[in-house]
Amino acid sequence: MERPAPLAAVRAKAPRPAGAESGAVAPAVAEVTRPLSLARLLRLARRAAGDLLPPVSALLLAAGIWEAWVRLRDVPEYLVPAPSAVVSRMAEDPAFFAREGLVTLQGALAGFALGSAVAITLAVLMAHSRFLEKSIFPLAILVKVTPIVAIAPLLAIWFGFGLMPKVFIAGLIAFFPVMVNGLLGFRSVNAGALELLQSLAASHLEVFLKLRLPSSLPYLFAAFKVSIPLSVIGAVVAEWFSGDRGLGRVIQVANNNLDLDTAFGAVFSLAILGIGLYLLTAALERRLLFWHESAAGV
Amino acid sequence: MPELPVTDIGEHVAIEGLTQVFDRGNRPLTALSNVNLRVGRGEFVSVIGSSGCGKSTLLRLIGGLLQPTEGRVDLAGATPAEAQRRKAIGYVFQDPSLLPWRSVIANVTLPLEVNRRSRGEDRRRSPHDLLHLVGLSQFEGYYPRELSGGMQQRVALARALVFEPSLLLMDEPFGALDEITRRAMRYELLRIWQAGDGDSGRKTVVFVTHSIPEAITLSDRVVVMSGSPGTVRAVIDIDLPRPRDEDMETEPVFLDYVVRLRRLLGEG
Repeated sequence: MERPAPLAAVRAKAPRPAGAESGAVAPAVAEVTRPLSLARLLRLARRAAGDLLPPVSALLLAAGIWEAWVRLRDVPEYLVPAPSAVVSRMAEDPAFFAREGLVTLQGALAGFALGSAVAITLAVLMAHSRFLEKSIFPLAILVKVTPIVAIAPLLAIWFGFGLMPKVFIAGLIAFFPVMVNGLLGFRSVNAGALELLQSLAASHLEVFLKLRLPSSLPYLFAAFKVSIPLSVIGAVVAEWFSGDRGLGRVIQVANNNLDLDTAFGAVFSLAILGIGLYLLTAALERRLLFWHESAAGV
Repeated sequence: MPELPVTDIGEHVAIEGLTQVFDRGNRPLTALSNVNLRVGRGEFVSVIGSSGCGKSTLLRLIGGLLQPTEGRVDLAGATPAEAQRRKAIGYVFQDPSLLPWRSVIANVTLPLEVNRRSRGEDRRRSPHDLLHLVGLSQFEGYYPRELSGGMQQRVALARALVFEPSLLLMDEPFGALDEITRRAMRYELLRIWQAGDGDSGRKTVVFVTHSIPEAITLSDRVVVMSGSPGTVRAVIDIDLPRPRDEDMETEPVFLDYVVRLRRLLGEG
């Protein structure tokens, strides 16, 4: 199916530093290492604008409609606060939202890390043994279908207040997508490459490190992008029931006081947190998965 | 198990009464039935037959990727598993099977990174020299997706040669290429194989194909297989002088071989 591309075409398509002896690619190398010029700055700015303009304008449009609706219909502020009121509440005390947000972020990330580590370990075991897959998978589904809200109050009794219940719930929520995708990823290897390694008597560990792990990265990153925002939600739920700090606690207290500006301020902070984490993951993915089909599909 | 006769000095692959039955529940499939074959050291042997005649199965049995139901494979006194542990078998598949996250040069050196205990530094070739040999010196830093199908297959060939295996198993390596590239690769392979004349001698090659001209051009002998279950129908000596070139393909001797093989394959 693949046509042999003329060498010149391939080279033009991929200005990659390819061996110092090759004179034809030297200009491309020079371009990469050239210091910031005005033209290059302008190009970067244009690209940043292209990346930011669509989401920011959509966000502003949504906020505008919300604001207009609240003002025109005179919606009382104990039912729905206007976005402008929420933003001014946040601007009033940004350190407060940042501090509580950081507490939530810690719990979410610790939970995500722990949940992913357990998930990947189990996925590795299952990828190497159908027996283990059959025994572990039902347990994992049991964990998955357990309604977190039902056990969340218990966690305060088991683990007390603070970080532990948060890590537990965030980890529990992050766990399943990572395990399922990890298992799929560790198994989705190129059959020829696997046979090649087998024909060289490569060990299971070598096959895992050289083939299975890199092959699984696209699957794992797809799972991370789902799991990271979920782990933030998990941390918030935990704080709601058993937190002494964090944005979940802020929302709960504010709701009880009908202080919706503060409650929505916390929700907005959570949104910023979620978006930030997602973008970070996506950036890391672009860097690590430059070789994958998905990198070219945009 | 029958005692294997003492192998000749020049014998590399000895296949005795090889039978392969795939257990597929209640409908077992006999892919190979009592196949016997001997390949001399440094010989180029093609295995030709229609799809599903068991030729790929035969190659996988020789390479130790499958365990035979009956019979045995002897690789110069070793079992295929022992040969694998000694890194004595180079494999090239129809799919280049390059790792997309590795550059061309890193793909070529992959075999050197696994099973390190089996081989010291002495039995490896310079990956740079090999890429030069397959005409890809300028593409060392490229990634597989930036290369055409023919170039990818040349990388796969360099990867199979980097640890200096004495036996090269090729499973329709040019099957996925277009006709023009395929013909070019045929002569390139001949050139590379003949270039191995020096230090370690020519490699023994078992080459699976379904192209008659390809088999004749490349081989010292052509093994014709027929399917369901796979058996060896005939073995034809190709008595053409080497080095061979494209002009040979229009000569009467060459065309005689084509006609003969076509008859054997039941094409006319």
